[in-house]
Amino acid sequence: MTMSPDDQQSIHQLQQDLRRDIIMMAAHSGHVGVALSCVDIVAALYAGVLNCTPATADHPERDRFILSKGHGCMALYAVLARMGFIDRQLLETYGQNGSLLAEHPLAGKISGVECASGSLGHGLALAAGMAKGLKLQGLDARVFVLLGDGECNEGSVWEAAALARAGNLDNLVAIVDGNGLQACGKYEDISPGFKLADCWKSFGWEVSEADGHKYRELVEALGQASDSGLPKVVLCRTIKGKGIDFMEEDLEWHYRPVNGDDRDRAFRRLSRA
Amino acid sequence: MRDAFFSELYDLFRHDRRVVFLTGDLGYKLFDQLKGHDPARVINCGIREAGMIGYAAGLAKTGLLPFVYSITPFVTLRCLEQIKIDLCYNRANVVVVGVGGGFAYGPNGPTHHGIDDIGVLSCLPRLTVWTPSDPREVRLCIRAAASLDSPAYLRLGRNKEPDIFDSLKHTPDISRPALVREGSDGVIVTSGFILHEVLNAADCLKQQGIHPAIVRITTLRPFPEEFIRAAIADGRPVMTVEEHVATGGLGQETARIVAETGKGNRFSMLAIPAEFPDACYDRDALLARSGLDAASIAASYRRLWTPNTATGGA
Repeated sequence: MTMSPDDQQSIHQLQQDLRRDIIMMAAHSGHVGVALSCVDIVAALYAGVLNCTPATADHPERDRFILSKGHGCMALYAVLARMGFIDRQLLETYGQNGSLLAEHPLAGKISGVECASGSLGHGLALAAGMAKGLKLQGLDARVFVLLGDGECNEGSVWEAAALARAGNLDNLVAIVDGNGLQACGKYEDISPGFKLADCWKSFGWEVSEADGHKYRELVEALGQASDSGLPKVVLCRTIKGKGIDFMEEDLEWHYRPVNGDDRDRAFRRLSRA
Repeated sequence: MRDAFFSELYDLFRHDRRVVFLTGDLGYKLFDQLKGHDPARVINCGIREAGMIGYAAGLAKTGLLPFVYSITPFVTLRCLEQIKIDLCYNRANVVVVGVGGGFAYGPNGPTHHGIDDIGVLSCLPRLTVWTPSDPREVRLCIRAAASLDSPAYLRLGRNKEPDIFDSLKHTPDISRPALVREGSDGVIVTSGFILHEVLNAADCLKQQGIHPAIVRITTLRPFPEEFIRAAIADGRPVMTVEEHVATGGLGQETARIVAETGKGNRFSMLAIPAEFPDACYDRDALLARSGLDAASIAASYRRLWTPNTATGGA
């Protein structure tokens, strides 16, 4: 089953349903704010951009997606379930003993997860290598990779950015979930003066920006092929904890599981929205 | 070994279009032949070892067979987590090639010594570790790489290693340990190009009437557990020799088996002390200072074989 919502109401419904699944999964583990920050980006990719369905998940010419910020994986699992890559029942096992859905994606376990992630700073180089491999073999497919703005602290991100530029990988799209909050503080306090748009530009990338919670804007920005022959990055403005008002912009929800009264409150917010 | 590597790789590169060569900006002129044949499959990643490993993993995930080349410490410890996650955990069939294993880059100093690579990499699941002993074995490792479905590490020396197997008139099989010299007076187990020193030590011992068997292991991971268990089962004295620190190396693995087997084998482990040298030395000097030159190996073995003589100390 795939879906491509074509009106504002069904887009809103999709975004709310995914958030409900995330809150359900987050009962015993953290990173709910992270998943809520990036879920609309992942949804826009799978529903409106990626040429990849459950039926083509192993096809050599499928588009690939790597969630480099692996701690946002509740968003990915929720989307994969909605799109029919995995059984929705599996979501209820998230983080439990014996589950295939770990708190960071496991390697080679479920359809739709191209590779393991969890340690930050790995995904861009992997994605760039895939994009290069596709080009070398004349395969017409694209590779998308989602990084956090905090993840861009990692030096390996910039090694990979340089490699992608050197390879003229115009079939590679990096997406930065720019919620401005890292694990222990604000991005701008931890990396003062380090403007991401300028950094990517100086590495020779085509840079664009988008609202990371607006479906249509995301589909347009992500889906548009690079016209410069260069790799492309879409810097997304996002809100950590987006959609649950008492979680928004609050670092506490980087860590805190959602249970008890919090869980009830969160579901109530979603049903009202 | 380096020339053998590039010449055999060129052969594979011409016939197998999956092969991609990546370098961390090292190997000046050595890969020109590859470039001449198909420049698209030769990538100078620059001095970006971590990025290069991830890039290679991505290439492998699309069905290609990347060889990643740099000096041993830069392509192992420098990018260890990329090897662990991008290659091993994600099961990407990439061959990591470290040139200058052991003390091969002696006078370049500890930044360039590759004496802890095997121990560190041996912690990683799914990684095949090859430590060829001569150029001919290097060629066999490259041929074996073509049929891998998981990552491998190939430890090269530099370029002066003698052709041991040709002179022994022996056809090596890298997949299993080989008895490279028969002997009834215990056994020396070794791995990699220090085999040359061990054979010289054996010549020296022979003149003293001591004839140890010599076993070389080229596929060091997975460790040939059963072979070693069988080789020492009669309780004979065992010495291990490796151009590597003791931690995580051939000697510790063998010692574990000796202990578990419980046959009371006298045992001695020759390895590089885990310390930084106090000054600049070439490989020969570093080996001698570590007790790993042929004369020192022979003396250590004599003490193991005859522990109760006046010169003994085992």
